[in-house]
Amino acid sequence: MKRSKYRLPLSQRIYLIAILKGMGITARHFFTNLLRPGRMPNVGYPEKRRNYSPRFRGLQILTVKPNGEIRCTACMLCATACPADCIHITAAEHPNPEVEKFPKEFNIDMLRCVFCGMCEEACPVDAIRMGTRYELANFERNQFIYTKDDLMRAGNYTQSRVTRP
Amino acid sequence: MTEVSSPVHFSEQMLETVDRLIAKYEKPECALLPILHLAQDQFGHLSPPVLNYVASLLKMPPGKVFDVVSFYTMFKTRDMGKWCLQICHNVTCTMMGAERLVHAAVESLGVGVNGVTEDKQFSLVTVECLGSCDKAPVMQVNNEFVERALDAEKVKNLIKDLREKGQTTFEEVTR
Amino acid sequence: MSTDVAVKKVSVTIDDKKVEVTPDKTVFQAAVEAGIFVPHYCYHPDLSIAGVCRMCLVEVDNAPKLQISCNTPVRDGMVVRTSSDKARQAQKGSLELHLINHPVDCPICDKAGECKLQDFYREFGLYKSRVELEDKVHKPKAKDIGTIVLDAERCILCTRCTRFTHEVTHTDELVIVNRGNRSELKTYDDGPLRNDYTGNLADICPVGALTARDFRFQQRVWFLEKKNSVCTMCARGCNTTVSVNPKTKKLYRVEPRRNPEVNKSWICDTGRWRYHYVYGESRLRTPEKISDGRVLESTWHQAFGEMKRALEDPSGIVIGLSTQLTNEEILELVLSFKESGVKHFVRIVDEQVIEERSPWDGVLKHRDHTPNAEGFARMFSMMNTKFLDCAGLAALVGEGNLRHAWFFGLEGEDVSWASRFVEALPEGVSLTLHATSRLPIWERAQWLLPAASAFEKSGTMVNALGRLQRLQAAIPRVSLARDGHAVAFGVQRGADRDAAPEARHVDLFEKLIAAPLLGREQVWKKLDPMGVALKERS
Repeated sequence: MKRSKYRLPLSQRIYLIAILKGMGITARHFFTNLLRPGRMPNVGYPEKRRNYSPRFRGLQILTVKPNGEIRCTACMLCATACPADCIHITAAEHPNPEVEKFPKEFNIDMLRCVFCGMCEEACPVDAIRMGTRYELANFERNQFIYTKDDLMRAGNYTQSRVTRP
Repeated sequence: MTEVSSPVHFSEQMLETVDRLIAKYEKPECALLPILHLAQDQFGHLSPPVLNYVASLLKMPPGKVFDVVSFYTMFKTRDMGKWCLQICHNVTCTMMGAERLVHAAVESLGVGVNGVTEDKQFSLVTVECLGSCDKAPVMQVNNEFVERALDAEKVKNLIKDLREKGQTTFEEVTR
Repeated sequence: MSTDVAVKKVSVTIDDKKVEVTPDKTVFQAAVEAGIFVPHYCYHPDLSIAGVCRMCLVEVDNAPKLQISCNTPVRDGMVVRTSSDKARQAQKGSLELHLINHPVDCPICDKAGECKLQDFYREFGLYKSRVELEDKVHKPKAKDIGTIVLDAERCILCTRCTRFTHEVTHTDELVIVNRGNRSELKTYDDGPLRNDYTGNLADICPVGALTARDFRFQQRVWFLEKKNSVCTMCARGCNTTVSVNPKTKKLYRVEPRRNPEVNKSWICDTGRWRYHYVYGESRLRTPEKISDGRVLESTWHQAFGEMKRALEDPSGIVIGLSTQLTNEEILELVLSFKESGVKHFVRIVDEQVIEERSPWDGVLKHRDHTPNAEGFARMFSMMNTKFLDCAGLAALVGEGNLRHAWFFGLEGEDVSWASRFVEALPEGVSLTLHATSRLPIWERAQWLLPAASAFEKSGTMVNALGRLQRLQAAIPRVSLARDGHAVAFGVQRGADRDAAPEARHVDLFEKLIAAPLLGREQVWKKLDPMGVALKERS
């Protein structure tokens, strides 16, 4: 194979200009952040948090009817639509004959959930919605199974439910 | 098919009529309708024991008898009092204002549709076509028709007459 | 044997497909033979024709109006179109009329996923509703009528259920009262259903008006997979499909499979809903040794070890085989124990019933609650063994040399007919029972070994009509339950090796079938799902 006869010129070979260019970029960022801190792209978590749009998909919320009962009728469409197979529902007979069916158990395994929102789309009665809570880190594996009560109250959260071992 | 025992029993004379009716048809159950009319005339209304008795007479399953009775509005399954007011709610009569008659009757009687008054004097039902559409709206009181130019006022008067005098000349109303 | 007069067939063209049928058939049946699907609700192959749903409307050439195919007899040269524009429009219109007052119950209705209204709407409907929600007529909702829940509002008045209670069970409980859009389905006295075949009502109802209380809200049907099997609660051997959730591997319901020769489309309530013993409280899950009135959980290893040791003196052992075992299990157990030297075998069967002249109940049920008495009988000469009956067992006991009695294959909770065999054994004889459930009548046993239920084993059985039918395992064995093959294998080896006996039933099946007694060459995999009629027992 013929070797290329082309050689970089000296000014490029000593890389000095390239070095100075790189340092220049760093210096520019340094001074911009020093003099205009509001322009920095970082978010100072956890003191500051990003503002997400109202369509943001976080922890699910199970909605309730005006009388306080769960709206879900255990039709299992969300469990069927879920691509991660993380929703487990047990249906039961509701004492009120007009309601007839309701979920006795409604568990979502957040370790499997991918927050795609398919459950929200599948629900025919607007019983499950993707809420805005995303701080779900925890130390215990079993703390990631969110039960019916957890999800019904998921709309009113103030802080994460971390339990330290 | 189970034979349900009941204290209901036709009289000897009625049983003879029943036999005559059954003899007219190929199968005993074909004589059901006339026998139901007989039973209704005899017992006032067709309660479950009466229907079970008729079913056993005709060797039919009781369910079939209930099925037929519920279809025809002329067959009463409850005690409908002395005067049973039946207002047609089918197409022509509704178009000609049967609903107003119903409202008037409900007001005068103090019971809703399908209701029977406390003193067991009156009852009100809406029924299917009575076959007199040219004189719509039509009302039937027990077995007599009240028709032609019938309106809310006349219904109220009719009820008043029946209450006070215990009778009314229906011709008067239809004129 | 009547002489077969050749009936002249007529030729009908349906959707450009020519088909030859006998002249007594209807256009619908001709379409079925041609493999063409015509939407319908009220037609059922095992009930009389009603013609009330008006869904099967088809276009017939030279007829001015559309005809209902279920009640139009065929004529030679008829040309029928089931999916022309006119026919489809009529079918769509009929569907719309059915749905006018139908409640929007799909999320809470059990029938979702197998509902004919849903299916046909998806295929032929897809129109926008023209009825306001407020104008819908309301009727009584979920009413408990015994084993079935009746929802009159969902009913489309196809009359399949009323025809069923009239023609099949002759009890006439269900009627349609009133008329017009106030027609309502109910039991004539508002009481519960009073027959043994109520479960079939939930099957034939095309919508969710009649649903089984046992299955209510348990599962959505699209989570379930169906497996073919045979019912083992009586000697009829109704063909079934067993619905299992493949994720949890649990059994959720048993439904009948259509077999015109055996059970038509029906199954009795016992066969349908008695499967709960498989998961019930009384189910034996581990081998249990009972000594001094105390129940000790043990292992198969120990059980097999003891049995192997007892086999060192086989003359004091009697083996009892229940007629609830499959043919293959019976053969294997007999041959295996004969090899070990055992001489005494007892057939545990409902002796009072099997010789009865008319043991049928008029619809389906046989008084013998065991499924394989006939198979047992047919294999007698193959096994070349004398089987004792209860009296014979008592005589054997009388001789005084008996020390062990091992009874295999006792299944379910309804085994009172086997109690006389247990009672025939005196105190000194140690009883080892291979059964599915712990019952009071087994109190006297020294060893209770968990048996695999009929849903957990594969094999063949011969029903009282002489039909060889195939059982297929639908669920994995519950806990440590073992079938007859595993037991025979384990006793020979002295230890539990459940892995090996899986396909032993296939080898034994081939042995059974090739034998002149059962009369045919068959392959297990290709065995007709409808079963094989065996020739009469000589």
